[in-house]
Amino acid sequence: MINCRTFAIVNVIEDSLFAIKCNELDEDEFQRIFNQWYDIEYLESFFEENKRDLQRAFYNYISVEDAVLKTVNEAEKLEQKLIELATKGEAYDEETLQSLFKPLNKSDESKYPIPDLQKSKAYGERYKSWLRIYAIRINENTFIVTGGAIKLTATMNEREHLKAELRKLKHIRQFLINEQIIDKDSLEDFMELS
Amino acid sequence: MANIEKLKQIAKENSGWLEEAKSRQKNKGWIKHSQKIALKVLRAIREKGMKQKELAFKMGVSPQQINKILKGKENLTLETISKLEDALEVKLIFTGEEPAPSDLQVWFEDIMSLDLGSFELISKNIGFNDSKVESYYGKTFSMNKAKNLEEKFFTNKSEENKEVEYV
Repeated sequence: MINCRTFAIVNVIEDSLFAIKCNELDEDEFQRIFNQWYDIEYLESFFEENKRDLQRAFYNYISVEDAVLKTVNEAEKLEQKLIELATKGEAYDEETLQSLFKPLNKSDESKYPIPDLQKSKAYGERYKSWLRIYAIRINENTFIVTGGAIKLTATMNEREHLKAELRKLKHIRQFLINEQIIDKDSLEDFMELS
Repeated sequence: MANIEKLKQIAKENSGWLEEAKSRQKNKGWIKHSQKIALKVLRAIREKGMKQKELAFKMGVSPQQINKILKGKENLTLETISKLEDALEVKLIFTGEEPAPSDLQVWFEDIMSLDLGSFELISKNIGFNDSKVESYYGKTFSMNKAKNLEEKFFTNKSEENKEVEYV
């Protein structure tokens, strides 16, 4: 697994969205996330390995094949929105970066339980995608993407690939504090987009 | 207090994402087809326990080429698709000339309900080999189910079944 101990920072959307680029890799994290979500071989292997997580009522016992196709469809929709933000500054449904990113700890089900699909319908919330983009918020309008993942479990601590994303967030946050880009008192700076 | 200026100083390069994203958007149509084919191929080799190298050998192409195809980002030629179909004995695309799987399924189930015989006998009589029939029924009619039905019919029948010729 890539630990990304040393990295560079690249621009994704001018002045508002940045991403890290691990020195071990050719792609920055933003590129890498989307390339992975469109990589059928990676997805088939991932969902086959994590088949047990799909075999739940929450996911309607979705098959590996359908999970792969669902992922590419959702990646396409998300990417479409981000392209619009990058080119026009606003998605056609008026979402902005600020509205897309939510604080990470609020989604941690150990603290804030997420309603399952049935309850979501009752509360009128839309069904959440399992795609995640992780970022550190610098200020209201500025984010640095540290990575992304497919999240099939309620918390990040349940899976290695998610724990690795959490480690990256912490490591990069420390870097930003050391460089005095953010100060250590800022709360709720771990963000996720889904 | 956030220091955006320092961040901008550090971020010297641009991400490669936007260009790739626009290209994906532009080629959305054929990329979708490529993805679906890649997925079918991956499931087929998994079911058969076939390695990518074996598939490459069967098709007379390099393992690197197979690896590219399986990512679902290649603009596949019809020739490559045909080679995949032959190597895996599965149908990857339909051009409207073959009977659609749903038609075959209905027909097959009618025959089974008439209690005419085993999966094997039926396969021979409709002129398809076992794996070709099975590929039409990939999801709905697995080999296990077929074998169960075969056993059911054979065990229920007496000697008379062996003499009957089905046309």
